[in-house]
Amino acid sequence: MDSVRMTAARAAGLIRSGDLKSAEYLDAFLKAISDREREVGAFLTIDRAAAMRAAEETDRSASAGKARGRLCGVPVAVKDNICTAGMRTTCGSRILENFIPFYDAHVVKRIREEGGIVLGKTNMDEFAMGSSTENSALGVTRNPRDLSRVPGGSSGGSAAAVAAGMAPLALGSETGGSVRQPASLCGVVGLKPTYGRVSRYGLVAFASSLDQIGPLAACVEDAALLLGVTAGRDSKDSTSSEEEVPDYAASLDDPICGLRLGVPREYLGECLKGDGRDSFDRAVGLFRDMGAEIVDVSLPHTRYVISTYCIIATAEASSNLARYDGMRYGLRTGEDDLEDLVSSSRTDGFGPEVKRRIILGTFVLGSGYYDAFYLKARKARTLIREDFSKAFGESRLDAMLTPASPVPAFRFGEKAGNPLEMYLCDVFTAAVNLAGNCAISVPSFPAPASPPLPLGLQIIGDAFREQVILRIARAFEKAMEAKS
Amino acid sequence: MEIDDELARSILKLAKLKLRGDEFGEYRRRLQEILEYVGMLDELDLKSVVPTACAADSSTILRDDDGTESSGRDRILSNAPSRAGAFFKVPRIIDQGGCP
Repeated sequence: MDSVRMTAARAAGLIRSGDLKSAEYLDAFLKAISDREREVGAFLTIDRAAAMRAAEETDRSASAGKARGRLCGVPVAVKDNICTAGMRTTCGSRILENFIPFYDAHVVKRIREEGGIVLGKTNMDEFAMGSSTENSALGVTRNPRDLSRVPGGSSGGSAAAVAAGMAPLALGSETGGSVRQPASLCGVVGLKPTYGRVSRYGLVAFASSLDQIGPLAACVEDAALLLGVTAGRDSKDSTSSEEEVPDYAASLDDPICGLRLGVPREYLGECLKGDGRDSFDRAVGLFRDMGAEIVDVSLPHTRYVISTYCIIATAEASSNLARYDGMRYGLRTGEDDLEDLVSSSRTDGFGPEVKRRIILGTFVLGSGYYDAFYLKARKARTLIREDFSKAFGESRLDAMLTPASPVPAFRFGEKAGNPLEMYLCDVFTAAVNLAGNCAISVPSFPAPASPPLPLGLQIIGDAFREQVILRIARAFEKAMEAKS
Repeated sequence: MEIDDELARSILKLAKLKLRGDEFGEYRRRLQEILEYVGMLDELDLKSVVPTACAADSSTILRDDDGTESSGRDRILSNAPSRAGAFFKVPRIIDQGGCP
């Protein structure tokens, strides 16, 4: 049995019934880690022994007919900004390098309740600020499809772990595209749930009006499985919704014939050229062949998305990251006086991109600049949100189709020197975070290269319509499988 | 808009960050560049637009005010960079001479 290629949903079922040993299933991924982790560098922490103990415990329960849970015996890699009790949680930063949470994030608690096993913690851009994972202070992650290229970011470690077959499932987090963009660049599935769908309790905050935790997986069915486990109301996160969580797996294979899929014309402009454009056009063609109705729509304020996102995300980050003061946890340097201790700890603990964003965020919130920048961005955000609600409402769309990333994986250092160019990696994803909708990136036609470079198709849904976008993504995945 | 030295220093003070001389120019240049880019928002007529604070349409959902078990002092102190017994240890902020 090829465990690594089996869906996690199927593996959990087989482990529950005792037809597959959890220890054997886990071992297949540990072997892949032994083979590939040295060159890929997806993880910051791996606890093989604890994972194996949990797997053996699952097997004992299965032998007694007591194994339970939708993730029964399935290992999950967790982005290192999501708290895991007793396992360090660094955010890819020197300032939290030795931070060991004493509690599990809500999503981690849910994974364990459903029988899942935390395999380890994955590398990321420091505090989730970046689109290539090059901003991690603690290690380099390479794209498993082409080691000379970045895996995307900020959830680059999670995407790389799944792409390299080192974990069947992973959790990432999104503020402006940090699940979908690395999923696109590594050729895996990544989903950004609707704001409020998944509790952020235990997620280290970056920009609280935008952050969401989302699943990464090798296939749509597994992304649906992990979303189903993690979604739902949690009283510890006051923004988590009471909206009922549907059975995402139940309608995955329903036909999509007759669905209305919008293509926003602003996304087809100068940002999308060459291979990216070809891949997207072929994907749209495939949907036409499947009987979907392709509708031309407009999101007129698309041009303002990155500016709005830059201001809002950095303003909220500067406020959220004020808590790193060297007092209660995290790095402490400088002991002369209080002021010196705080600024020394922050200066030594934060890397360049985090400092840049704190500086920008501090500026746009500053007296005399607040109205000109922060308030203006919040108003622009209203217009961006209205674009989405009008498109879904007036055009009666079931979903929208766009590319997930304007370009395939780029080489190390190619964009690192230019922060603004790096921010533009989020040009197709950040609007969804500003609007609060859900969206998924699913592997599409790759860019021709040797080896071919993955490109993701983004399917955007209305708020709390994850079921619809998963179904469309599954239909696309099947159509792609039939082509290959 | 121009970020002069004085403004840049005041931002760093508020952000509680110290930068070396050679870093200072680079950060200021990047800040300037991004502010020029986001200046495109001036093209929009936003006078009558209500600002968005959050992506959620629903209001904050509060939980019942029930007592629950707390995390416990020792666990909360477990990551402290410096502690003295049951306290976080920090530099003295009151003059040695005591209150007047």
